[in-house]
Amino acid sequence: MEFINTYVKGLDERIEGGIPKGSVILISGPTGSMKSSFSFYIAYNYLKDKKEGNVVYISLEQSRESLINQMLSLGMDIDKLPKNCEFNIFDWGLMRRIVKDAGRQEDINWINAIINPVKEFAKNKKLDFVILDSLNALYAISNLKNPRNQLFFLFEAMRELGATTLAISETSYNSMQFGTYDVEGFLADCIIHLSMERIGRTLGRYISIIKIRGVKHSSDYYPLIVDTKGFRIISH
Amino acid sequence: MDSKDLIDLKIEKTLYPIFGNLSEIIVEVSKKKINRNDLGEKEYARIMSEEIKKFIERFAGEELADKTYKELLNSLKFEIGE
Repeated sequence: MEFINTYVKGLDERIEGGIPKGSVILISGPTGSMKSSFSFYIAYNYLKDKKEGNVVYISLEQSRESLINQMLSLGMDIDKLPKNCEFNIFDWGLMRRIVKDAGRQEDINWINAIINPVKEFAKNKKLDFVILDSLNALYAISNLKNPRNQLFFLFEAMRELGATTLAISETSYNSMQFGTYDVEGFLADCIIHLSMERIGRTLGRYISIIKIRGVKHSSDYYPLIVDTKGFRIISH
Repeated sequence: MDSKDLIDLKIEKTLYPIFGNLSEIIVEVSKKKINRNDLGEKEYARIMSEEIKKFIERFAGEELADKTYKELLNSLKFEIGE
């Protein structure tokens, strides 16, 4: 099995060198736990490190402009990546607006609609990462009649792309359910939980690797520090 | 159905592998930005292709927009006269 670094200082050595390449990884956590930034950070640093590669970020809610500005504030500028790197952001918020304006929401199979452009994009090139932000937004626009089945096929389609998929799942505070339907964690190959805890007047961030299929790893929660130098953990 | 409707259908067909049934909506939205009746067939085909390129650029960035634009020009080469 080949592994990809998370580039979180101190974390990779605790999970046998990173996350399994080509797998589906569930990035789970409450609002404000930096799920989008964390996912962006892994893919961005992969490109920066390898000096080549392709990423597709499927943003179902946040606009491309807003996402780019958010990442710039964390020191990640996709325009400054090496020449052979492509960090593509698919702004599905824009597409959702035109579908709504046309009054055609009911006509769209959103799961297929979201995967098709990525497949087309990956036709003549190797795709390294796909980031799906977020599963919750996908649930909000698509009518999942059989979530377990449909999510199974969604994750399979992602695996077939050959890229490592980071699927973002928003949960409630203090929840140990990692997805809305409680099947996302089972269907994914790996779960990374970003959590938050109020300590007096401060809010502490934590990270834990809940599951990596076929890999022994620590399941401790590590304090997570985030600044313009990147993400790092404080190990005990 | 006039010749411009046929152009719309060709555009939809070109977009279909990428956008599925969103293609029809993308064409509909782009049509609304253009003074369809004031344009000849050739101008209409080119301007629609450019409008769709702009939309895809906003949606997915330059690369997919350029690729799709080339495909549109190729499928509309008879209408554009190239």
